[in-house]
Amino acid sequence: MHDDDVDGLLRKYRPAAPSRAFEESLLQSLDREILGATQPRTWPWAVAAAALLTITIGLHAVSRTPPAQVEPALDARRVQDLADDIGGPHARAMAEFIVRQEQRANAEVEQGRAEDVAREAVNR
Amino acid sequence: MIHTKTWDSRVSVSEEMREDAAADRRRFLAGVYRESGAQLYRYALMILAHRGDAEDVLQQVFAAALGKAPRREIADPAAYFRTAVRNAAYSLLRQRRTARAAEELILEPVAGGCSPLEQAALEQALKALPPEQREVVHLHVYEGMTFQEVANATGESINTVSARYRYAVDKMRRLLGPTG
Repeated sequence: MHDDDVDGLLRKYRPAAPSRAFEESLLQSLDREILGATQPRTWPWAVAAAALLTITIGLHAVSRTPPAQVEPALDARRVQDLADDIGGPHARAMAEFIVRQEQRANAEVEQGRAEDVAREAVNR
Repeated sequence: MIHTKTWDSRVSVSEEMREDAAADRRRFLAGVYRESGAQLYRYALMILAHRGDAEDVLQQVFAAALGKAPRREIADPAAYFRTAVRNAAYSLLRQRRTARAAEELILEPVAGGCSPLEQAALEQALKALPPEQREVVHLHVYEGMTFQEVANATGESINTVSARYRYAVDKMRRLLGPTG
């Protein structure tokens, strides 16, 4: 066989054509790509809006929360006296609990009185 | 009279333009495929010697072109897509490192007097060539390019191209000898 024979043999054939199924699949995939590209991209905006809303509500809630009330220090002498009266292994803890409750009750009474005074002053 | 444009109308105009541009690209690519899809497929097939790989390459090239190629940026679509197919095909071969063995036929007869035995022998001889030599054979024999045109299309020197063709024909002659 000579070079010309090889050339002649090659020219009796050609590379195979793509299948009809492949052509249809390719054109359909182009359509799908285009459809995807033209869809309005709402997700990034929706996510950004949701994040912004969450941050806004969070900040608003934090700004409206009243500052934590500072518990006044316990009256040490009163605690000690009570603990001595109660006696026993848990006397100090019970004394601190009782004194704390007393102080809160007293504070509420004081606050009530102050509000009454203020209300009377306004009425006058 | 004061003309105002609302946000909604701007958005709808923008979407219409995008849809128009996408439809335009779709028409352009469908036109390219109708005109030279089969030729591009055959080119990929001769480099890869595997129908499935050739299909993958074409799919990849058209999908990429859809994403980035406005029509006016492609001055010579035939050359652009041929180069894209070539790059994708060699990239696939580099990833694979070894060519996929395929039992399927990559040739089809175009003239009378063909025999299945002859075709099988020719296919075997072609598949035994390195992809670069098959590529030169394809461009020279089946696309009718001169060696200079093949050199321009592949970015190789004309000496390299003609040497590849000579080696390819020598090897095929040796392989086909007993049946030829």
